[in-house]
Amino acid sequence: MDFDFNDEQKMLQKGARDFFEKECPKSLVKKMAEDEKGNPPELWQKMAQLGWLGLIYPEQYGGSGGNIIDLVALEEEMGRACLPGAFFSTVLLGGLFVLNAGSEEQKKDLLPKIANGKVVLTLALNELNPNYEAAAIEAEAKIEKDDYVISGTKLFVPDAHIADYIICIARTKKSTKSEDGITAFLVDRKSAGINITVLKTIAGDKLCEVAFDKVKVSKKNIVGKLDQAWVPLVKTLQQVTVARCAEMVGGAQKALEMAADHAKKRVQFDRPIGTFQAIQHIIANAMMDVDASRFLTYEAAWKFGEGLQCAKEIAMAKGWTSEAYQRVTAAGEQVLGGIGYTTDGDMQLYYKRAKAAELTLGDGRFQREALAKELGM
Amino acid sequence: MNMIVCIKQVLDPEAPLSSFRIDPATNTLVPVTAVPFVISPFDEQAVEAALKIKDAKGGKITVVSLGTNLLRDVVKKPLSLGADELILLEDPAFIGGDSWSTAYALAAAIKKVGQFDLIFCGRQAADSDSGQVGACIAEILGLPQVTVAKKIETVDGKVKVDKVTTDGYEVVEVPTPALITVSNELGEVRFATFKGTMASKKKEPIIWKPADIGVDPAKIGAAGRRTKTRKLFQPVRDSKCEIIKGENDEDAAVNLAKKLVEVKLI
Amino acid sequence: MDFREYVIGEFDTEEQKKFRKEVGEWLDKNVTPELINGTNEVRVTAYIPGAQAFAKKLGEKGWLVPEWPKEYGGAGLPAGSRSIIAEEISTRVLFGPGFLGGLTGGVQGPTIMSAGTPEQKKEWLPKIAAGAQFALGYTEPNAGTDLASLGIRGVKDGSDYIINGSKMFSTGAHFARYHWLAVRTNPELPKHKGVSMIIGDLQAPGVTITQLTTIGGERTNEVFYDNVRVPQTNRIGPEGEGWSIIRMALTAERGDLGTFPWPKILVNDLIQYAKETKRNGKPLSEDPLVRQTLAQLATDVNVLRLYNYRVGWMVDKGLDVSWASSMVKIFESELSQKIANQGMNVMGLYGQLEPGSKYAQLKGNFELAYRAMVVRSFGGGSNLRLRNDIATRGMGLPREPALAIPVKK
Repeated sequence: MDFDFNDEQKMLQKGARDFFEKECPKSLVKKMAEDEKGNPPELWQKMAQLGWLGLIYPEQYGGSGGNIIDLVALEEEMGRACLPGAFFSTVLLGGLFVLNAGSEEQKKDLLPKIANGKVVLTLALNELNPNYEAAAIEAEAKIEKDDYVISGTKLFVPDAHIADYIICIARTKKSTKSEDGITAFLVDRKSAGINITVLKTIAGDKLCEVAFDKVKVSKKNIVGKLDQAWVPLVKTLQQVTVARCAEMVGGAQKALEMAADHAKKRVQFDRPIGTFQAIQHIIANAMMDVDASRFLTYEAAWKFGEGLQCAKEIAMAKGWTSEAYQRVTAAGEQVLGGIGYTTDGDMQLYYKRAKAAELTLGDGRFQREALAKELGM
Repeated sequence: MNMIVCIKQVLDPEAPLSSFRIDPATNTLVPVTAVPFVISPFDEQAVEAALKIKDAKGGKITVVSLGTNLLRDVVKKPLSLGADELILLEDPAFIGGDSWSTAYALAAAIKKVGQFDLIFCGRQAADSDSGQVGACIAEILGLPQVTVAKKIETVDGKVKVDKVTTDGYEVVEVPTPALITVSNELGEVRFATFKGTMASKKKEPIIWKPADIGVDPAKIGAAGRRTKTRKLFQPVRDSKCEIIKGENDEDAAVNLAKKLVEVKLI
Repeated sequence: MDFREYVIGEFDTEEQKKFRKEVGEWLDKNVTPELINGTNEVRVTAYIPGAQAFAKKLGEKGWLVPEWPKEYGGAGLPAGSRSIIAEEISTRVLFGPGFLGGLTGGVQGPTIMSAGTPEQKKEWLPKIAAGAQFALGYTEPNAGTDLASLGIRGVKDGSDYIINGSKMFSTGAHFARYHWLAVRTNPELPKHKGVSMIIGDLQAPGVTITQLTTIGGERTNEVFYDNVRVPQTNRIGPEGEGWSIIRMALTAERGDLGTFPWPKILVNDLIQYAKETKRNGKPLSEDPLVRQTLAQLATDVNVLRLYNYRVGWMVDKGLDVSWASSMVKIFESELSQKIANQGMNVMGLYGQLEPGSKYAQLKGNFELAYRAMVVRSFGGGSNLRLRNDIATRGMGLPREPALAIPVKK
């Protein structure tokens, strides 16, 4: 077993850490939480120039030909930096879906544009009953000559308000199996009938309500095949979940380091508070949480990259990491006390992100239920 | 332009002082917690200087590094930025030296590399801060040297260097081959693209031992030192605070002025 | 990065393949059904019926310490042979390493090999190789986590030490021959510096062994030394250097940590049980809370596996593993208790039935584990103290200062 990144991945991580320290200071992170758009354009272009927006796409589609472990290495640094903006929505959610489901033409059209920072993309999956299950998809797409007409409300759609295109997951056919009859449509955000409201979130990310009121989409804009979006969507969500776990691991590691540093420096009762056993135990437990999150995530990523069965591993990784990141940041707040509580500090950024990340893509309970199924229960 | 850049792997100079302790027996810094290794920052600027010239005029960049336990994910960084070749003088016989014996080994390696137009070095290493290796290499190889450079351009076969001075900078022209030490005023070091990082995988470092570069064993590493470190210590800053009193603020100010005159500060 | 599971024997050289076959054939002849059945219950290896006899047979082949030179009773086999034997035992009987170290000088052997004089090596190593059993003599009534404050005294008299004092929780002292004793020989020195490691003879005059019974159903002992003579030549390492010998022994003890098989077995058994057992008209495995519980336990078992592999990976890289091993130890001990606790809850009232009782579920192993796993939180190091070590050694937190005015006992 080898728990380490290879030399190139380590170089990527170090370079990314230096880059984000310079280009994504916490002042920018905090500003973006208040900003209407939330995707700093200069940072977006610089990441494009470094090849990071196309990192995970094959070279024939304008990407850098990186693999999922490379993505994990980069995502850890993004989590550490609290990177705001459209990487998750565009590169992962939208872009990976296009890679997994799209036709050659669609891939050759959209993926290079994403890699070059020319396009923001997102995917609208969840609705009023947001449980990542096919049965919850009620938004309908009805055929009318050469167009489909989409109606329904999508929720928690990241960056819809600035996206050039929204991939809408809608039901085109009612079937006994709810996974059948689901189709993905590439919709121009500016289409008539679309109404977007940005929601106010704990993590400051831009999640949107996207209401589709008889929105016309050409049948040419079906991403992939009619009625068959669910399978590539599941694969996409697997990759996105692994990437999200890696981001959480990076954030948890930083939160742990901040708590430990504070414990070493803060003096009360004539001694650093890190000499008190209660604090040492909090830190030790946080270390165990971070390490377990990391190893479960790495194993899931490795198995995915090898093309092996990994549903169990992904469920374990997201299930554990969801709750571990929350524990670590809550513990971090405890250790920091008052200065962790004000918005001047940085621990609060991780604390808020941890909770949002826990809930997104399936929390602990969701993942344990998925694992129970995989274990044959 | 054939360019050579000398880089040194050091313990991260940004690490807090509490990460180290001084070993009085060997007069060296020993890390107590895990401190990462990095390329000495001025050396990164030296790499950037060479890359700027390669961008403008083309050429080949050979990076040379002397040390032991050279982490590949540290020393290969210049390759990911666009350098062409990496040579490692990786052998215990090379280490423990001072500026002179280190420069002697590097100079021998540079001679073996062959034809070059420019050698770039960082102005000083982030750990020892002696700032002499570059100068010693130039001396050994009989080259003109320009130190503390903030801008380097090639113009009609000559090299034009903006050299930092205490109150500004000087513009110097120097023929090739020459050695230039680079300072941080050069500007930001570029970031590697993902493709650049992946490409560095194919460039395996070349490792040279003392026998490969024909050095006299008595002149390299610890054996070749011409200086001796007597003591490595952290200066103790002691401050005594005397509160100047007075009946009121004006009175206290007068007393303060009197005190300053008394200790001959004003 | 590589998470490919090691397949037993996949890296074997031709020589190793031959040896593995030889070991397998011998084991097939010598592993008794009694031994296999004995390991079906959660128990310390030493107490399994037939285990001691089996260890003796292994000793006769030099296979308890296969990589030791023949002059010391080993088989003089190349590096990797011990792993092969442990693996092959584990495929037939649970917990192979327990037979190679847990019973006999798995701790004392390597320590004497490193720190013993040539005469001591000649005297003790062959005994260990043949299966001689040692009981640990560290803990005292007043010296547990603060082991350095141990008080049993060894006073020089002629060519002997005269030992007075007692040791507590000395498991195996009632059947072992030798006692691995940490003794205070220099009370005038600071407490870490006045300790020596002396091999005592549990059959010597003046030694009294009193039984204590643990809630895990196993016997442990209090051992009293009343003017017991022990030759000074039984002292391993220089006088007063016992603390570094103890550290060596603790490191040796850590070697087989993490191969404890029970968490995975118990969770798998519990999942199977939940699928097959009906309550309120439907299988337990359909109860949402049961599903959540078992999925979490399955995840925890995987976390333990990964923590454990990480230690092996660090050892291969030559890194200091002390805090990483402590993580394994803490997690495994707490997980074992969690499994027992939650397993009993899944079973409901049946959970309280002991092994052997009518209606006991899964051989009563969960009830037994609930009692027997308690010791793992403090045996081999208190989890509370180990967490301190993880934070200080692993993350650089400053250590707790000593009390300005110590409390006298």
